[in-house]
Amino acid sequence: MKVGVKFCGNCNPHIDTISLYRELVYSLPTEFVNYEDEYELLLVLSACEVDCAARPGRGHPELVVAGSTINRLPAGKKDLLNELKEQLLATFRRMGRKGM
Amino acid sequence: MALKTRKEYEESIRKLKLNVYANGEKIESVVDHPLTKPHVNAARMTYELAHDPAYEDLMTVKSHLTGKKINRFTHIHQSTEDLVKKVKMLRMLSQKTGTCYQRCVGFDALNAVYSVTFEMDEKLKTEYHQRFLKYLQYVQENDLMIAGAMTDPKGDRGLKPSQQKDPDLYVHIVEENEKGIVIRGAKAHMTGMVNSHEMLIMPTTALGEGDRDYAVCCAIPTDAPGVLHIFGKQTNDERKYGELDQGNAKFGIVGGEALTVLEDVFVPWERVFMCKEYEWAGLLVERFASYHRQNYGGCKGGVSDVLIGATATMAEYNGVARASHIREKISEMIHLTETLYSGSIACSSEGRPTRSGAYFVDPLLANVVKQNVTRHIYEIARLSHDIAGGLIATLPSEKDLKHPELGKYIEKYFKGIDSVCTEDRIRIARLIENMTGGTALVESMHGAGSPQAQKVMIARQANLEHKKNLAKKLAGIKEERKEEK
Repeated sequence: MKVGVKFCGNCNPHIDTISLYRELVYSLPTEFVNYEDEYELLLVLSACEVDCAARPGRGHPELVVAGSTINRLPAGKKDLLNELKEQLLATFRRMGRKGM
Repeated sequence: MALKTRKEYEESIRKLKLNVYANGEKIESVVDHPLTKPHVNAARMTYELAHDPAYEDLMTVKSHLTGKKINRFTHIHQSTEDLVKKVKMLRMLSQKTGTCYQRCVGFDALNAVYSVTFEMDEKLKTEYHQRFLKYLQYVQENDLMIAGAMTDPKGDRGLKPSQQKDPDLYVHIVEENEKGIVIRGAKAHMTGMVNSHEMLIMPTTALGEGDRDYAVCCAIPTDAPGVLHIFGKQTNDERKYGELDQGNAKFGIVGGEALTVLEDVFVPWERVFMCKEYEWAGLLVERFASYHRQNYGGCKGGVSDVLIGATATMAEYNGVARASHIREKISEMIHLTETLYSGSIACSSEGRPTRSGAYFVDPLLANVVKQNVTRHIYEIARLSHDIAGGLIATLPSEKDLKHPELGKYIEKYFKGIDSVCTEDRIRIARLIENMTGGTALVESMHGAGSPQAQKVMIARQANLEHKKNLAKKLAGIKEERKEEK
């Protein structure tokens, strides 16, 4: 499963998406790629809830972190990484993927 | 090469045969000279972050000319989203540098010239826009840094350009031939000029028929024959030869401005975008000024983010961070900063397409942004001074701190809370000093035009008659009657 990653531009960050991404890569065996490459799921990492990151517009399913929310539901800064991992795995399952 | 790396930018500047002087001496390499290096470093960030996935959403965009990914600083705004992202990009870059990275001036010049030349061609059947499109594509494909060159020295401000005793106090055309034009004069306060690839010359004011020769817009390489740059002297710039005393050693203070002298510079026709069409000078000035005033809630917002952080850190180092009046003052600094930012977002969101398709900001709100900057930045700096304490103006030098006999006294008597070393307290104090004194403050007052220039535009853009009619209607005045005596 390849996950494309798109950051917002981090102009007024409420969370540290760069650290979040590093920890995610470290803790999951999933292959994360640049949003300009080929992927099956798009992970958007927006540092505040405005979530102004431009989308590549390729019609793939998205998982959106925007500030302390995941897909518009509050996640809490402390639990953000764990909740994001759970949501990614749940999304993989919904897409018919058991593995990562 | 649609996106230069930071090294490619530096190398490209090194290759220029720039004629730059400072302190009476020629600067052989602006990339390496202590006076200019911090400004090169700041400009370099506009190239570096375009390659960083965490920032590229703001730093890059697809060219409407070629469909290729380009640096946003070479882009023509195609939507209100583009205008908003410009502001966000500026705020982010200011957070990284704590100062001016200079590239917005050329960005605004490109956008202003784009829409105005389009309208000139439609009305006058000229070919300026077509020429400009080719130039713009060259800029985008080579990711060039452009110095927007508007401000003339102006001489006697009460006289029009053609009425000046010395005709060179405004840039003007001195010769026109088959190959192009020759211009003479100077441009003052040129931000980023000495580390730009090109300059885009524009008139500085609305012009009348007698000022025909002063209506000139054209592009010139910064190292063209006849071009001389005299680099400006900044507050405390002898500190650039050290490190700690600078406060922001890597990126310096504001843009690194220069006086650029144009001594009979030849410009080929393909780089001329206005030649004596004096009726269009005012529109070009207004477009450029509005775009440029839009920026200030973004860039100064980001700079203020850093200053707020520095001030809050200083309060911690001083052991007063929990005092209620300190917290209230920090909140006020945040409020003022976000007020500046709000204006920039508002004038961008209220943007509209021009005839060319390029988007233009709401000029009234853009002027309000810059007017606020001339006031709020001073208040933000005042609050920072209030919290930081007098040591930002009285600290001994880096040499004394490092001195084998004096250093121990500085370590001892400039100590704040126990858990923080004295040098770190000095570093934060110097950063606050750097960001709130002399050159840095004056830039907020006069950069993108002095306060009165905005007041004129604000008065012109607001519909005062409408406001008077609103009041009269509510007051029950149906028809104004003259009082009978």
